[in-house]
Amino acid sequence: MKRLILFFLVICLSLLPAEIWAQETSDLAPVPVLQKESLAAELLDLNNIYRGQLTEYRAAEKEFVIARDHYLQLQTLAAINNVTEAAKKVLGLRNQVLITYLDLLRVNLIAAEGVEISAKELVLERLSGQKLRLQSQQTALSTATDREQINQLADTFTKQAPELTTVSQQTVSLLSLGKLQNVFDRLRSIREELLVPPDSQSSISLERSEREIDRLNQALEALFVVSWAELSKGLQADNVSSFYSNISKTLNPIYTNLTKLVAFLEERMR
Amino acid sequence: MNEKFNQNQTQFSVEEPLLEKSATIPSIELVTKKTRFPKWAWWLVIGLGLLLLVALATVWRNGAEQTEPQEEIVTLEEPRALSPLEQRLETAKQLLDNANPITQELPLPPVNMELRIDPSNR
Repeated sequence: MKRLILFFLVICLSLLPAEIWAQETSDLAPVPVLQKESLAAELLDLNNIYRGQLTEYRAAEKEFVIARDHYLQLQTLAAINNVTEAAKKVLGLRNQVLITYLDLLRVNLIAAEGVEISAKELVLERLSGQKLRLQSQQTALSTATDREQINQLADTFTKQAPELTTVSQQTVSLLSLGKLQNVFDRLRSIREELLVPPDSQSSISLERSEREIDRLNQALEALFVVSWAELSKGLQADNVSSFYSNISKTLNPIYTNLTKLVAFLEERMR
Repeated sequence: MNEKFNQNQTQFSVEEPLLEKSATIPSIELVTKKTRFPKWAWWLVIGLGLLLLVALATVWRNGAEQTEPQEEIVTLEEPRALSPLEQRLETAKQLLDNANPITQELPLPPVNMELRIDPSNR
């Protein structure tokens, strides 16, 4: 009996601290480190650079306007010197802003889902062409020292600006329609998984909801066909200004129908 | 001594009861029994003492920890885990929010395309 009690005591004493320490030494599981996709990281960097450059450009533009006013009023050598320097600075910053903007468009287009590869390649090529033009202008600007030289470079840029605007519009149009197409593709694949096998005994209400979803799908498909055809036509003709100016009007029915389809699928999943 | 002298001086010797003997108290013999404390009981006491010490140490330690300022723990109701299909639908919803054609991303930067030192002749 005595030995039994002793044994019990020894066991208790040896286990009690172990239990307390066990509570203290429970380690936290290591948090997994999420790795960012390279494109997303690049976009983030470009966005930050773009914002910084735009702020710098705005300040430089204000300085240039003041310097030009002085030059036009005073017409002195000092004023000419000041305005030339200010113009060189602002034109250089404008080029930088636009180059970064083109990079942003390029990376966004590469990362975009739901855009046909042929259309992507076409616009990417145009984007890189515009970037090369801006880069060569930047090089020319760095060597320019004379007021007339800067005026000439400014004129060359102004002549090229409409092309730059066109490429920007093409990219934005592709991205906007591509985003909606990507959502539609995803919803279509979800819909396919939700489909009721034809031989199964489904209720009338379920059949009715299936028909409604089908109808919406068909309407969306038709809208996409029309929109893509119009955009492709504009891309081939290198003119998407009409599509771009009506982008909200053209894409809004698609967006509304997609929102409806999401709601239907949500309801169907319940 | 009591037998020989009466301490009470207001009492006459005549009144003293004759041959009365004072009651004698029998001496009680205190017997101390030597009880032997068993050895196992000592062990039990030591064991319980140790247990008490450990318990006190634990309580003291916990008390010290509790005096440290603690952040208010907000227990939120855990949302229901979404099925893979529901997760996919949720992703599609988020993508649709970003695809609203009214909020146009990446417009041409607001830069002056016609900057020039001298007014153009056009």
